Amino acid sequence: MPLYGWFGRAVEIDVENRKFEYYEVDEDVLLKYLGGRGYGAYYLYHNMRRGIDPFDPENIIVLASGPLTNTPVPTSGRFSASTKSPLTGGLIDSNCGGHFAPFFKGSRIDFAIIKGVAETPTYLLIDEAKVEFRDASQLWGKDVHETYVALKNKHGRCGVSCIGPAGENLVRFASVIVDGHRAHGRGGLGAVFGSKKIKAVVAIGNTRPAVKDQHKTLIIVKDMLKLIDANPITGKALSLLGTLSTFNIMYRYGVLSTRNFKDPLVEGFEELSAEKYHKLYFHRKFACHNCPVGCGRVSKIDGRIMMGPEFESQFAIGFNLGIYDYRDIVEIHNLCNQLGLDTISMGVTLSCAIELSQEGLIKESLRWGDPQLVKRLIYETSQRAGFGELLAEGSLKLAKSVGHGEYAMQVKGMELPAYDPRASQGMGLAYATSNRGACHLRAYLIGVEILGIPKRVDRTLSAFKAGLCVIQQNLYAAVDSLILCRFIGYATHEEHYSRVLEAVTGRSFSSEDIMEIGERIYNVERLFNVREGIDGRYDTLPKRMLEEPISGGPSQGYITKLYDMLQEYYELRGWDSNGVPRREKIEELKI
Amino acid sequence: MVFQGGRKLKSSKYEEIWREISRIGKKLYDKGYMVSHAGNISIRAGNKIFIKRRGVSAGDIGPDDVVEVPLYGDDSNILIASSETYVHREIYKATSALAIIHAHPPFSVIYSLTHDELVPYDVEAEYFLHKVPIISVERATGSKALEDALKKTLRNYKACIVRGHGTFAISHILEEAFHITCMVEHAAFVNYFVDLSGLKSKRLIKELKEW
Repeated sequence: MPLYGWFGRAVEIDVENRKFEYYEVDEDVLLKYLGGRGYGAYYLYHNMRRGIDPFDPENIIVLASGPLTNTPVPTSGRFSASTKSPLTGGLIDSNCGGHFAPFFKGSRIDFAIIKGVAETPTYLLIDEAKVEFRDASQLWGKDVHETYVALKNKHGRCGVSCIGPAGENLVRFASVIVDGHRAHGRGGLGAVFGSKKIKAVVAIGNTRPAVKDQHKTLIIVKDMLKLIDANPITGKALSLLGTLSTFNIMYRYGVLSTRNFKDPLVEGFEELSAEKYHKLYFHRKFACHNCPVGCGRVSKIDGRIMMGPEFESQFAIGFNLGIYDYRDIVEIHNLCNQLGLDTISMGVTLSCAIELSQEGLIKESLRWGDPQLVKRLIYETSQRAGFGELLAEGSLKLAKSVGHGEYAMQVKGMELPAYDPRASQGMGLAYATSNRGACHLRAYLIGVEILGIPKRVDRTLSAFKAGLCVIQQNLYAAVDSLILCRFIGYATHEEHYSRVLEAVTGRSFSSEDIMEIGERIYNVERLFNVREGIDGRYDTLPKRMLEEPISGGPSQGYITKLYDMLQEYYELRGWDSNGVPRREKIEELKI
Repeated sequence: MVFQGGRKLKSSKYEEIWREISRIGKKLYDKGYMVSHAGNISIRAGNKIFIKRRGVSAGDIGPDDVVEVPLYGDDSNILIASSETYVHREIYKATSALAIIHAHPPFSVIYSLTHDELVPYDVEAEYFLHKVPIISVERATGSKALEDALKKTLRNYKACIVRGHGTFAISHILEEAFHITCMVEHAAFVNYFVDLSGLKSKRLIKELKEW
């Protein structure tokens, strides 16, 4: 049967020799890994040698769409990029919305494999028949907005994915930005772009993939849209208040901390509430390609139109640093985006630095609640100038440089997102066992523990959490490979994903097949990491989360009981006690 | 392993697990979905299954009434575990379920005797379930044929009805499996009375028959 959903075609791009070559992708691989994050993990595990430095020419970037990309399925405009992370040394994939994916897949390719290092700054122009290596010397040094505008003006209707100065200067948590403001945020993908002297990728394809059963696809899409609309989170909260709606609930449950997770957030609710933002600064909302939700926000502050903020930025470069004024938060959020920096890692690296300073462990004099200082340090980080040279290495290397790694709020080198794992046992396990480091998107146990999706499970219990964590990690790995947005998972389920995938591709998939594909992907990621020496020893949390109880608020007294959950987690996974997949598991999953 | 029917034998999480099984069991019993001592409830934790023991009513589950059996292989606890333990085990092996409820809700049983599938007329069940398959096997309790039919069906549906026997609902959370069981029974109740009225439901989403 011919392929539907997929094109079954990828392009290998050698930027060093300015050559490209198309190849057919084995159908068996597509069925086992789908695309997106799954194909990235598969390709990097099987095609990269152990021990390659992330900035070495041999490091590989996999750009990937999924079988549902640019089909009528809601939120199918997402895109994935995978590489070896300069922040963690392990596998990183980063998923992004915006409008890039349809142009990329429209170039009649599912994947692009980028290898080597260009001699001079380059941007890649991908269309349906070729890849062009265009000179980017004039763009090198420009910020994201300038780059985006220049390329958009030049190529018209296209998707633009680019880096800012942070990526050029190899900041280990530099991001790649799509459409000038949507981010492949985490893990330093932007720095790997920079190391290869790739300023941007521009895609201009315009071909839609064939859909096997259009009628059935539309029936399932209709059902998905009905549920998305009826669900209070997707149909109301995210649409009306954006991701900031999360803040109010998390605050009330005592899930948020400030000052590098040292203190609970028990102040500033009025200033930080989603309602306050919408009353004073909301300009309009923003939706990614084919998204019925529209969680993105555009702000108007003192007459200036700016993108954002998002909840995670509100945390990391906002109240985490003692900054409570939305005007500052939005401005700093935009500064990070324009320089091409992950706001979470930037913010938590800065909070680490400020705490080290307050404890007298570094010579710089830094203080909480100083937006001007924060902006200066962010800029210096992007340039690797002055103290920014050290900040650009991330919190763990910063803290270790003064012999106090315990001040870095990170897992596997990646900084913690907003949810304090002491207040949500399952989230603690999710952070600790995440293959890419501290991440709220590998498994979102906040969903069951706080939001009650699908039902609420006591957040203080360690029972039940191992199973829920495994299930979510597997499911999300599959969703990141289809690729759909995580947010519609509040309203839709694996039964939708399997049925719509079946209708689009014409291949048979059950709900459990989706879970098994996700499990395979999660195991391949783990095997990649184990090969790099990142095994169960790194499935842990900062000492603060395990030993220092939250000192006040609704979660007072809580710590993460990680080791009550971890062995059950490994047992469920079929991994040994050091977090390594057993041979039987590898064979069962046909890896 | 020598049988010890109590908490002392169990893992540290046993207390939380038996209490949850007991809480849900009481609700199912009170709603009339667990007839006398019939029906069973289980939770998977790691490579263990925690399941209501045989001979105990779901409305009366105490600390000694939930037994731990291995997911792979048997131990002597199988002596007192629910008669459907093997069915639960096979479902766990074939799916990502972490909780299973097998109940005997009356309208679900009645409906299964006259229909081949349950496509809900009412909105709530339609949104939640889409469609509930009804499976028919010759030996509809504790048989290999039942195991095989359930394994296959529950890989694609969160609940099904075994004709003339009762419901099986799976989930990652026991509370959710309870919700699913309730919705199946609610849908069967509504459909049954609409059909009984002799009038045609003005609300049937035909597309769901393909679900």
